[in-house]
Amino acid sequence: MTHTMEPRVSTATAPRAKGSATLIGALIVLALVAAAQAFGFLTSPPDRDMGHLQKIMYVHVPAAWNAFLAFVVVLAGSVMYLWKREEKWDLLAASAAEVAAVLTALTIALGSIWGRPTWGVWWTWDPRLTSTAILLVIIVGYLALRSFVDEPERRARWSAVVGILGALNVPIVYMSVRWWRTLHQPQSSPSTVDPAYAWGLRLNAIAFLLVMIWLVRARYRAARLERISELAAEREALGGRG
Amino acid sequence: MPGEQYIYAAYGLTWVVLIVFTTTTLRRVRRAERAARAVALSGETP
Repeated sequence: MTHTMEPRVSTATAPRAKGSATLIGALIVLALVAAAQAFGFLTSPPDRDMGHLQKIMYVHVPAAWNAFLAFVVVLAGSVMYLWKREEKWDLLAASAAEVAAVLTALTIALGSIWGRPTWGVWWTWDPRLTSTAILLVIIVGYLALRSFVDEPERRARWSAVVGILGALNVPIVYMSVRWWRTLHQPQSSPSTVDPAYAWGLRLNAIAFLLVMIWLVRARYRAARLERISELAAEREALGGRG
Repeated sequence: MPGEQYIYAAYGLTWVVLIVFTTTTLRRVRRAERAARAVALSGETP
C-alpha cells in the first residue's frame, strides 16, 4: 500500500516568515475571544434563575460546540486517510484530535464548575456528562495509540478507525439530553436562549471557532514539518540521500 | 455578584487552557520550523 508523504520546504527562509504569521494569528484570535467575552459580560443581564452564573454559558457552550467540530475534522481526516492513504489526512486528523481532547476536557471542567452552584454537585452520572466523559476517554485513547505505535502506516490506519468510532459518539452526546431523562438542560443555541444572550453566545462561539481553526492549522503545520525532519533522519540513518 | 467565585474559576480556567495550549503550539511550530530549515539547508529536502 502506497503511503505518500511529500511535504516540501521551498526555501530556508519560508518557515520563519510563516512563523511570524502564526504568532500574529494567535494574538488576533485570543484578542477576539477577549472581546467576545467582554461583549457577553457587558450586554447580558442576570438570568432569572441562575443570576450572573449564566455567563459561564459563554465559555462552556462554545468549548463544547468546537470540541464537536474538531471531532468532525477527525472524522473527515480519518475517512480520507482510509480512502486515499495519504499521510496528510492522518496528520490533519491527529492535529484535530489534540484540539478535540483539550476542548472536551475543558467542556467537562467548565460544566462541573457550572454544575456545582446550579445543581449542587460537581459531577453526576447523567447521560450527557457520562457520554461526554466517554468521548474524552476515546480521544485520549486515540492520542495514546498514536504514541504507542511507531510504524507510520499502521499508526495512521489504527488511529483512523479509533477516530471514526470517537466521532460517531458525538451525535450520541448531542442528542443525549433528548433521548434520556437528564439533569442537563436541552441543547443551548442562539435560537433557544433568551434574545438578551443570543449575540453574546454567537460571538463567543465564533471566537472559539477561530481559535479552534488556528490551533488545528498550526498543529497540522508543525506535524507536516516534523515529518520532513523524520524522513530526512530516516534517510540519513539508512545511509542514503533520497 | 452571587456565585462570582465560580465565574472567576470558569473564565480563569478557560484562559489558562487557551494560553498554555497556544504557547505550546507556537513552541512546537517553532521547533518544527527550525528542524525543517536545517534539513532544507543541508540539502535533505526531497
